[in-house]
Amino acid sequence: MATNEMMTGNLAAAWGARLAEVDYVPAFPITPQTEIVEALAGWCDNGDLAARFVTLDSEHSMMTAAGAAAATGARVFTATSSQGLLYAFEVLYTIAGWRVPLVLVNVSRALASPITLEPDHNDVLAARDSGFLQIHVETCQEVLDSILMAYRIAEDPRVCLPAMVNLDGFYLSFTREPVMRPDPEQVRAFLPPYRPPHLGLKASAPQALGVAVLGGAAYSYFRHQMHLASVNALAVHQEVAADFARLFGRRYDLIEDYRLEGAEDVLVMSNAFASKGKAAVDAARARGRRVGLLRLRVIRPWPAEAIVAALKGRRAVAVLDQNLAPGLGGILFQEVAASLSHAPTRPRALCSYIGGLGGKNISDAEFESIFAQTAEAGVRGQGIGPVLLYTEEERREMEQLLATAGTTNKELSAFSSQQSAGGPKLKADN
Amino acid sequence: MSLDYVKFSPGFEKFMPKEYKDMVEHGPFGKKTTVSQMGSFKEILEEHPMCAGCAMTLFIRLAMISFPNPEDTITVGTAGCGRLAISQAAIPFVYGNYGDQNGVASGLSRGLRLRFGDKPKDVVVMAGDGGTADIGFAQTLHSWIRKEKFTTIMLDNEVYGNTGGQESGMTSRGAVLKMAPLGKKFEKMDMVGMAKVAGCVYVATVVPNNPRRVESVIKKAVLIAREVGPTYIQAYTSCNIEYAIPTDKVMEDAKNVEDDRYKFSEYISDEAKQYLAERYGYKEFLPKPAAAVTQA
Repeated sequence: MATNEMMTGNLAAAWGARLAEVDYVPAFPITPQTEIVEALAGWCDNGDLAARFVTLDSEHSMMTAAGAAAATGARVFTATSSQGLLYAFEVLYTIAGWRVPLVLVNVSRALASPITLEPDHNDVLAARDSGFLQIHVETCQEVLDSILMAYRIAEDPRVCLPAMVNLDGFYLSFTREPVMRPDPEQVRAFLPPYRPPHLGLKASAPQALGVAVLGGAAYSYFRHQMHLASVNALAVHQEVAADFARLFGRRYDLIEDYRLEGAEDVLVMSNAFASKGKAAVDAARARGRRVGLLRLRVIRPWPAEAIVAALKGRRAVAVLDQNLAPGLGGILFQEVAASLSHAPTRPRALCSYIGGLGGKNISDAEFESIFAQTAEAGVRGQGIGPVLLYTEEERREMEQLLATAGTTNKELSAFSSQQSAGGPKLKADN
Repeated sequence: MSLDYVKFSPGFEKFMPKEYKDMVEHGPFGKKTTVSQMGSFKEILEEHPMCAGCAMTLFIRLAMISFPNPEDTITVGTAGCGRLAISQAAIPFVYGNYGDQNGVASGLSRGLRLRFGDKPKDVVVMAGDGGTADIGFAQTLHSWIRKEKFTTIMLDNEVYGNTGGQESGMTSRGAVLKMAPLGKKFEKMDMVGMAKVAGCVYVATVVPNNPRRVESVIKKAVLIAREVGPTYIQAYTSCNIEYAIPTDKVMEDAKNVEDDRYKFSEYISDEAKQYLAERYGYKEFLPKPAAAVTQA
């Protein structure tokens, strides 16, 4: 029977794996993910979950073991964060190339250096070209549901790729929300046990994983197959989403439309901070601004058609990236802009904002500035950015720290002018 | 480097916190401080964010007092509780990524020798059991096999403390922790044995409740690493939080664990003994006078 209870994003992730009745959980601790594997360790030891739980010596070993177990046809779950994902990086590409389905939960945390524990998406987006599917979630309920959906999509014979479900560290991982925990029998109907005939390394059907293919022709073929399989996941996702909605009453699409109807300008966001964006949209709507929010949910494969359909004909679009590619700007802005470049009625202006780096808050005033600047850009017909969201107060605090560390006035004024070099300086009072 | 780096930014003398003023005025740099003088000078590590009663912090403080030349020492750390304290000490500190500390130290040590060959600069790795024996195992072992000349100190709290108490390779068999709710299934790793096999010329195990012994061990390890070869110290630095040791029983626990399964041990190669005797006047390692030749 389905039950409604309060759980953190991490516990919801563990429940996702438990309800998927996974066979094997290779694990290694890293903040803010650790609670997920701790919960699974407890359930494996007390018999609530009939899976083999093993603590590995690093994320590199952990991901390798996960991929290898998936290649035997076992249903595999693991989780990591940030530096752990990067430590496992070469393995991500390798096991995606093995075409083995498993689910990896990444709890986003900004990358070193300097070191922090709080979230942004440079970790998960660094893996965007690895071949893993990526689902980015906003709520604890969506964490649990997306893991179940991710297994269905990853294991579909048209896809056969590993999948990553991404949730924000702290803002979601440690935040308790009401979560409807589905009935295990119903989950079994949605996600039957996985016993794939093509995996299992049987002597009767010899198979090699990761063979050398020199010359390029075979290599290109296999890599292009991965691309096609990933693209297949768009249609498979929609089928799975329909099944999921029928059984559980909750519908998830490739993207989420929030008050887009009648919106002149649209703010594009992803993950947990989209909740802040939605509140800002409500506030702006109440003040008479015709704005809406598009939440990017499935980021690999990239749902270009759905994005174009949602954004074409708008006056202006602002993409708020919670990541920074040094020397380029926001990663998702580039992808949205590329998708819109051939749209017949593309927006008059595209604006790029960078915010929430290292979990930095985005205030109501900053959202209001984004809406105002985006509206102006739309009227002008010329986009702006990348603009770093950084309030006057934050800048003053940083200048005080620099002065204490012995930074000269000349150097400080260079810091201030750098702030505005990337685009018009954002002024927000709070 | 020089003593010059611990100084006030001009104009900030009167605004700096007392701790910083004390470091400038009463720090250990350029003096020969010992653990028995604790309390009479400003330690390079005093303020830290560690838990009350943390044995690891005491050990780190003792180790830092024991560095033969703190002003010419670079510490290398990795993810874990220890680095939260080590990185706040008033000497240079490097953090790369989790588990790569012996790789970082290899490059540092080689680079410093290239740049300052005439003056010793000591590289000391202080990493936890997970960083040293689990995720960093290969880099640790290979730095020893390559005979890299720096000191590796394992702050062995037998648990992943910083992430909240999960089993590590150095956890004892049977210990109940958050990723081992029914108890760890495998034995504690024998890193001391591996250090000897891999070529460390000085290997010691120690607990923090004997400050003079900690001092002696650290000094020898750092001095020997200057010219002879890799040195390894494995220190039992209990996690009183995850092992639920009452704050006032932390030293008692260290004593009990020392008696039970973490006995003081010290291995010194003959070459290292000779080096300590000749270069630093360690009398106990001077060659024994030849026995009187007895007439046949």
